[in-house]
Amino acid sequence: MKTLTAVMGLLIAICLGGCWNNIDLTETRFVTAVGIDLNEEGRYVLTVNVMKPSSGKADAGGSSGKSTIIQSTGYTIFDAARNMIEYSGYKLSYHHMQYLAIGTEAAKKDIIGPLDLFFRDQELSGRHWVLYVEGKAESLLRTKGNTNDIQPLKINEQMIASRSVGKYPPVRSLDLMRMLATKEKVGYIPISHPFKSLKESREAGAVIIKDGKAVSSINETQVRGLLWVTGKIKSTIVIVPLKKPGQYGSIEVLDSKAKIRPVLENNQLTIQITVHPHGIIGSLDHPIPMDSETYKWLQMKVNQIIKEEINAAVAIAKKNKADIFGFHDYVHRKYPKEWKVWEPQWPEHFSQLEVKVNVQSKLLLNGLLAEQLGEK
Amino acid sequence: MIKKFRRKLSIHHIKQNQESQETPLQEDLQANVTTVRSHFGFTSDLAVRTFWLGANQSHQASLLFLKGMTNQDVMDRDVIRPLMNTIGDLHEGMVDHIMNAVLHVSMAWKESTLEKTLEQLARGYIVLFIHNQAQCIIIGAKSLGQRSVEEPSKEAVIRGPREGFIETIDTNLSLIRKRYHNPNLQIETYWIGTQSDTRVCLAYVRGVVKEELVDEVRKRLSVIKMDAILDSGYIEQWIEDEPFSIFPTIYNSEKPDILVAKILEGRVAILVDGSPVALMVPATFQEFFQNPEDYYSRPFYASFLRLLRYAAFFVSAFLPSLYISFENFHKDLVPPTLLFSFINAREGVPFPLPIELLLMAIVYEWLREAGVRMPRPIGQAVSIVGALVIGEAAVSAGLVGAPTVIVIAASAITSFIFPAISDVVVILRFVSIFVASVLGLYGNFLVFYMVAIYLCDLRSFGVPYLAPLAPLKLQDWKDFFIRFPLWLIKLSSGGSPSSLKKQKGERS
Repeated sequence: MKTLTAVMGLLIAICLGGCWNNIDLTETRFVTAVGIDLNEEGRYVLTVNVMKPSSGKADAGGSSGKSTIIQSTGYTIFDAARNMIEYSGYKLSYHHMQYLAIGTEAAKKDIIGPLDLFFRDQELSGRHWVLYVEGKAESLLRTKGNTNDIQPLKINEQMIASRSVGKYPPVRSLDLMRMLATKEKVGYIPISHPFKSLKESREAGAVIIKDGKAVSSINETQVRGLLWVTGKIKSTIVIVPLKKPGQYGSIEVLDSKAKIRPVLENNQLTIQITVHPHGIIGSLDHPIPMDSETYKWLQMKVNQIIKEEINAAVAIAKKNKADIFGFHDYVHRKYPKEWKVWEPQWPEHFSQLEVKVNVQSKLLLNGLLAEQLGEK
Repeated sequence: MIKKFRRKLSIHHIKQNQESQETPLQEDLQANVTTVRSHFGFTSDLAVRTFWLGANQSHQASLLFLKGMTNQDVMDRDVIRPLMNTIGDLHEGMVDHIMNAVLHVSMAWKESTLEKTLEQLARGYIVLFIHNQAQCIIIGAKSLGQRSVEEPSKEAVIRGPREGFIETIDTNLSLIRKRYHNPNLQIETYWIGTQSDTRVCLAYVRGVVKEELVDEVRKRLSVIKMDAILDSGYIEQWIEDEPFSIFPTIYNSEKPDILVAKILEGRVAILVDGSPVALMVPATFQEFFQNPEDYYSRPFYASFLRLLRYAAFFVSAFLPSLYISFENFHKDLVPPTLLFSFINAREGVPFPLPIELLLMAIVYEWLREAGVRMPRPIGQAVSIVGALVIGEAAVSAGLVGAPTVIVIAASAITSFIFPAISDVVVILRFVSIFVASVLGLYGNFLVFYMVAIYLCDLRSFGVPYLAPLAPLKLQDWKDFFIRFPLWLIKLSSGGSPSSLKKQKGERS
């Protein structure tokens, strides 16, 4: 009886479980990037970057595979993806897709619809980045990676490195799903600008999504304002104009924490944002005496600049009536009863919301130099 | 079926001194000699030396011995010369007189039955028949050709004693006594093998070992029914707990220092004449990951190495199957750059990955087997074939991918880290390759869990195989993953450390 149970258990374990999709590496090709565009007929154009293995045995160890661009069209993205086989010959695997670019036209029409496949499909982990491309998404895929042979890997690294720049928001598919899950379908994705006759690209700024469509783009300063509030900046450079015109000091922010606190007073809702950036003096164009006065003055300047950036971001969000900061979550959490009243008209409420920004920066060090070279 | 087999084994009929018919010796010298010779089939290496006993030449006596098994010097000087020169008159108690006053040998005793006489003669003792006496004297003057005590090649150490057991059991026992000067060391001798009559010794420390364990070993030894015991491996296969287990439940070693350490922990060692490999029971899984050098060198690096050994076990058993699962089933778990180099390596390779891995693993086993059996001068050919043809040429010819060679090589190298269970690992490796090529990572874990469950159930002479992991005995973890300093590991004998005072008159 015991043996029977054991055998049955083993049989059940083998028959009911198991991993499927046993595909040998040589039987598939890997998509590293996907671009979504609309053509003149209103069909979706899917552009993919596919890794082409170098069949030469000589450099078998290296990852210097060449990639190729394949395009197909379809009524839906899935349709286009399957139509891809007509061109590629292989059934493509999307496991290692690094980013998903959506062209201007397609994004202005709808973002959630074409991205639904990428949210839904089990082959994807949701870790790929989502980008908005000025012009056709195809053009971003066709750019050459200047620092990495595999351009999608360069974009991947670039998105990870965003925390050191803060001029474009890194948005993974999962993040976007979370943002768009609200009633107003509000979110943001970074903008990519292909340039140099589309040979290279630069990622800066972001586009605001509302009702699942791209509505308005915001510049780098505003993006940084947005990232200060959401606390996604780890390190960035804040440029401080010094007393002499044309001369600047750069403060390297090492760490920044943000606190958002909705306050309801006299039936008037205000959002209090407190940002605590910590930084060091990175470089100074002009010698300044290193004393507590200077530190205080620099801190004050940094506070001022960050506050301006945040205010700029808040202003454009208000203008678009898009709560990209996610204030609604904080309000909902703190005032659940009142939220029920506000919820239907939240975009209106948001556009008239009073946002109080308080920045308390802290300068920690002046680097290895006390004075500028040659000064005493 | 297994159960039935086990039950058969567990019915222990203790071998009572089976009353074989006893034929008394005759009084006539010539008759005795002829009887013995006829029992030996008049074999040419049975020598008979008949001579006059004493100077007065009143009685004849005969020495019977097997040529080559006796020490010629001892026989000439201490047996034949005194016997020929004895002056005393030959009376009734003559046999005792000769044994006690004439023979200059340490081992001598009387036998009066033919069967006993034949047995001792076959074991290499000298038999002395005296005219008109229905008794004979057995004289111990054995001298067998034997290897010198060397370092066992299987268990080489950098730090620690280099002595290893040899094929002669007496020398082996002396090697043990040399390390453990204590009357508590008990040696029990059994003669096993209906034809070969091989000497098997149990060694244990009285007061440390559990009496039930010794009883159990005795019982199991008594069931052995074999014609000949040529190596301790025969004994191992007869007395192990689970004959169908791929995991060994008996520890073996060629080193006397290991044996002493084990019997001091309350184990029983089994030595077999003619085999340099001693068995130790009970054995637990963790023992196969230990090395005497763990204790001889300082604990830090030893502990680090021990941890690596456990890791190596998993690498050796599961690396090829994990490679299959990641490549064929779970490509999303591989970092993209790594996957791209896998792709480039795999491109243009003709076989599916599982076939490729199986082929390489089998070729490797062939190579290893050839390397072990080949005489040393030809052995180099194996390494050239192995390294160049199989490794380099196969990859550059595009028959297999480079990662496959690396994976198989890594799992092969790691299997040498624990030589005692390297065979287990090979079997696990092949099984997991098969299962993983069908079920992927899930299959891998299935194999792992099955093995883990099985090991939890396994016992060696009543001791859980996975102790001290399952059942959990934290006290014993001092010598498990990490080897604590020796003074922290509680002495298992329970005794306080003996005083280091040098005793008076002790000569080293």
